[in-house]
Formats: sequence, structure tokens, C-alpha cells
Amino acid sequence: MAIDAAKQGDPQAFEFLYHLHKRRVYSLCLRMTGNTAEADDLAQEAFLQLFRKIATFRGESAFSTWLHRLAVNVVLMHLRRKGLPEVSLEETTEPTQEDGPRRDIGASDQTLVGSVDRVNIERAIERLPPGYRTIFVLHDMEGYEHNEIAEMMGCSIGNSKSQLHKARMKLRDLLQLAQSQGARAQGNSQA
Amino acid sequence: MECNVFEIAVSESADLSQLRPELLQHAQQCFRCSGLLEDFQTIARKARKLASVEPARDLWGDIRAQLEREGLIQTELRPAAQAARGVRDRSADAVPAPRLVHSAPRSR
Ligand SMILES: [Zn+2]
Repeated sequence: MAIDAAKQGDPQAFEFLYHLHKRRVYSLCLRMTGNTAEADDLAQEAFLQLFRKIATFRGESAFSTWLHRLAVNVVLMHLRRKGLPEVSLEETTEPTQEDGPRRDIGASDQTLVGSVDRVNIERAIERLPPGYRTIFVLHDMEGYEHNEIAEMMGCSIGNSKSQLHKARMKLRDLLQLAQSQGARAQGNSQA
Repeated sequence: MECNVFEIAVSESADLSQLRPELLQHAQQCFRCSGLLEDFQTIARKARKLASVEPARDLWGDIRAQLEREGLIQTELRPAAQAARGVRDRSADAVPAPRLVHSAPRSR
């Protein structure tokens, strides 16, 4: 088994594990940072930490889950060092749950009717403020639950929930905007 | 149920496809909230389907070099190179060979 061999310092086992998991780890880093150069460095750091700690892996959780969690922590540490708010600073000034969700000015109630394409989704996620993006990626893309996110990010569960809500609303607005711009461009080209 | 209560409750739901009955009931009666729910579901579904991406540069070379510096992986010298440098092959003593997987008897 590659993990056992890697624990013994076998370079081929390390390389095998790297190639097996590199896409997933890199994609996570890229989506959480929105920056390819940072994602490269963070993925590299995640694998280095993995190989440094692999001897302590006891198999209580699946190896990929363990690695994934480690990669998330590497990215969160990086965001913290960069001084980027992991949870949005707006949180302190915006209405809380009791006040009801904030509506962005100009946000329409028009639905996206399933016409969202991959490129627009990628772009919209990239354009999310870092705090929103982190929560959205962890919850809606990676499947972490609010209690896990709160623990990893050192925030309250309520904060994680309200940030997710704002992230989704913001994404929806960005996608609606992209859609209306696309429709306008199409209209102009036909005119 | 008020629409703003619905919006918050939806984000508290771990799984957008398994909402509490009272939320579903509101969505069925409210055009605005049913549109919102549908959009959240579409966005999450499509975001999860985004393909995983290859690192922009090959990271393995740097990772390996760093692991070697830290002594975490065994730097193996080819037997010829070892002989040339008069190095006794100690890798067999230091590194237990990975266990062989017992292969099933061939059916043919
Ligand atoms: Zn409603």
C-alpha cells in the first residue's frame, strides 16, 4: 500500500500519492484563493505537510479526507497571514439574522433558469470577496458542515451560516449580472 | 413564514435538496422564494461539477527536493553510481521493501 510505503520514506510512494491527489488539492487551493500562483505554492505546502506528517496517519478517517482537511488548514493559515478576513468584515456592520437578510441594491428576483454556464460560475466564484468565497467553497462545493467550518475558521456556527447566505446571494447577483450582460451583448451583435 | 426567515433557514440547511417541510411549503406558495431556492440549488450543483484542475506548474520536483533536504525520503543512488563512489548499498537495510500484494492465482 502506497501510504505504508510512504511512511517508510519510499520516494515512489510519495510520488504516487502526489499524482493521485494533486488535482483535487490544487483545485481546492485555487478555488479558495482565486489565484494560480498562490494555489501552486499552497498545494506544494499542503503536500510537504502531508509527507512530514504521514507517519502519524492512523487511518481513523479516509486518507483523502485527512489530506483534504490538511490542505484547507494550509489555505486558511495563508489567508490569515495575508490578513484577509476569513469571514467578511461586513459582518460587523450588516444586519444580523434578526434583521433579516440584506438585499443588495439592484439585486433582482429574476431567476437564473438553469442557464448558468461553467465559465460564468468559475468567474463569479473568483469575484466573491475572500470571506464569502471560503465559506461557499467549503460548504457548497466541498461538503463541509457549518460546525466543521466554524471550528476550522474559528468563528461561530451562526456566522458561518450567515456568511454562506450572503455568499450565495452575491453569487446569484454576479451570475444575473453576467447573464444580463451576455443578453445585451447578443442583442447588440444582432442589431 | 416570512420570506426573510425562509432565506436564512435555507442557508442553515446542510442539504438544499432535503429541506424541512415548512420551508418546502413556503417555496411552493411563494414565487420569489421558489426562484431563489432553485437558483441556490443550480449554483451549488454546477459549482460542485466544476472540473478539478491540474497545478499550473509541476510541483513534484520541488516537493521531492525539499523532502530530500529534510531527510524524509531516501535518496537512492543507482547501484552503478554507488559502486563508482564505493558506497555500500544500505537502502535495503534502512528501508523495508514495500510489502508485495499477494496476487490471485491466474485463472488461465
Ligand atoms: Zn417567500
